[in-house]
Amino acid sequence: MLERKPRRKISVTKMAYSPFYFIGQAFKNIWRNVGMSIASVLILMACLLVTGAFYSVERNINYNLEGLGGLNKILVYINEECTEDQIRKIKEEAENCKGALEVTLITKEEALKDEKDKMGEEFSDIFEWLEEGENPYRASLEIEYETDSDVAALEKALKNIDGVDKIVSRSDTAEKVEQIKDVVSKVFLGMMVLLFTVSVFVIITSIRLALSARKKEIVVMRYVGATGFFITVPFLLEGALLGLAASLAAFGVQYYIYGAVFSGVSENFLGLLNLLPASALSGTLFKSFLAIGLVTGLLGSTVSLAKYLNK
Amino acid sequence: MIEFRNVTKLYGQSAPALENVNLKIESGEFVFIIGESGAGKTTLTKLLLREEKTSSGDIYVDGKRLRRLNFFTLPYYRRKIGFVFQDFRLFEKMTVYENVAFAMRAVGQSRRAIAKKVPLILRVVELEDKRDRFPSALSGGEQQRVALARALANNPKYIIADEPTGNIDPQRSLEIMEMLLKIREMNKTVIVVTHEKALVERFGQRVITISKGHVVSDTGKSS
Ligand SMILES: Nc1ncnc2c1ncn2[C@@H]1O[C@H](COP(=O)(O)OP(=O)(O)O)[C@@H](O)[C@H]1O
Ligand SMILES: [Mg+2]
Repeated sequence: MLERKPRRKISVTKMAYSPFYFIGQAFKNIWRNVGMSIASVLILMACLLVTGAFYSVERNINYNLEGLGGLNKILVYINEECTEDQIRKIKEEAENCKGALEVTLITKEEALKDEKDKMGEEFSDIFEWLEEGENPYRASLEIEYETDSDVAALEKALKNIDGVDKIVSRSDTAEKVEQIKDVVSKVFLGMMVLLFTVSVFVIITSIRLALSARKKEIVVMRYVGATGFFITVPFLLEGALLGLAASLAAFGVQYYIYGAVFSGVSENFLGLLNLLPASALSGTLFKSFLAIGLVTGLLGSTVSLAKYLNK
Repeated sequence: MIEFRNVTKLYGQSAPALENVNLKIESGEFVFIIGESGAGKTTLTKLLLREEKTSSGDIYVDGKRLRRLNFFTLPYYRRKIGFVFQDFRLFEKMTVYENVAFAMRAVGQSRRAIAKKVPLILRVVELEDKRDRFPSALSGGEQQRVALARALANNPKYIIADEPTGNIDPQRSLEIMEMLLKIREMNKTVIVVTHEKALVERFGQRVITISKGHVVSDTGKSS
């Protein structure tokens, strides 16, 4: 026969708290003030959506700027009909232009490969198909110039080279985009701070209501010797659950809206404006949403509980 | 053992609620603390529970200085004391059984321990047949016994009752007092606070009288 282990003696100092108890209490709190709970989630969601929109716009602006070339760079697209010899000649001519520091040739194959790397796994099928057939990309030259050189004169000289098709320089488009980006950043940041503050306050109010609904229970709990941990955990969990709900809902909405915008843009602005696929943004967005949601929720409950913790 | 050494309690600028109180209560004693309304009786219980801190002087319980207790150690100290609120503080939406179980759950007792212990406690306060009733369906005396049962739930060494007969009729008051005496036999120290001098005198127990924050008489340890 098996020897029977003596049952562990129940001691009041040993914690036998069940996580289910705490989660159950947290849900009870949420349900008791369901209107306030919904309001908390919705406002936090708005905060997260603004953050998410900001991040998406920022990432896509950068992505499109990259295509325009970096700082002090002019991109020169070469006519499709040009042979390799002609291209080499164009490169030499560009090197001789006044102000040009360094000229790098980007071949059709390199252009295709770059784009493929940028778009990521999801679109590799399309690129495989492109690689098999005619390469739609053109060869180009990347010209770095001295900071204080006459960019306009350089552009003109480059344009006059035989076989040059189109010139894209940062001096016009990029700077304008940078300016817009700056304004957009400030507006978004302001909205984020405002909504975040409002979220914290709404959650504080939510938890306060839950606390006052349980005032009598809390008094008795304290008198019979419940620990601060036991008393506060349901309320911390309540804040965390509200934050979690807002994160998940906001992520779903953001994912759906971005998908719709992405397909709209791909159909209508092909080539002019390129958007990153949702998968390139979703990882960071998901993690940030969770972090912001949980931090906001916990911050709200901690502030509300401070009064009780101080006793 | 409970010991008050030169305890003074001030609330703000008004006259002290308790002044220079010295007391010793041995383990296993039954003590009445009497005094007119406003004498400082409730303050004394609050100090004992460390709900309030002394303004000067010290309180020792089983050799521990209450002033030393902090956020983390206070709950464990409180488990030594079963407190009976004057206004019962029962939960209207919980049955008698659940009201008692609440106190056990609050200190992390297991479901099994609760299921085993609550019926035993309800038998002590003679309410085993009313375990599924809600407080609103009980008389004042019965509600007081539920409050007493809840105070007993975590097997405290001390029982402190603040005006346990304040809200019930004289006949039931006697019953409650008898019950508290019975509880003392369970190896507990019982402190009963009341303003009903006449009621106290019939029991021949130790009586400490306070008036305007001072101990004015103490019959000393009884039998
Ligand atoms: N929280 C408080 N703040 C200010 N004064 C108080 C407070 N509690 C009690 N007092 C005062 O202390 C004195 C003693 O009160 P208390 O201990 O409640 O007396 P008892 O319980 O004997 O009626 C009274 O004068 C009362 O007004
Ligand atoms: Mg009183």
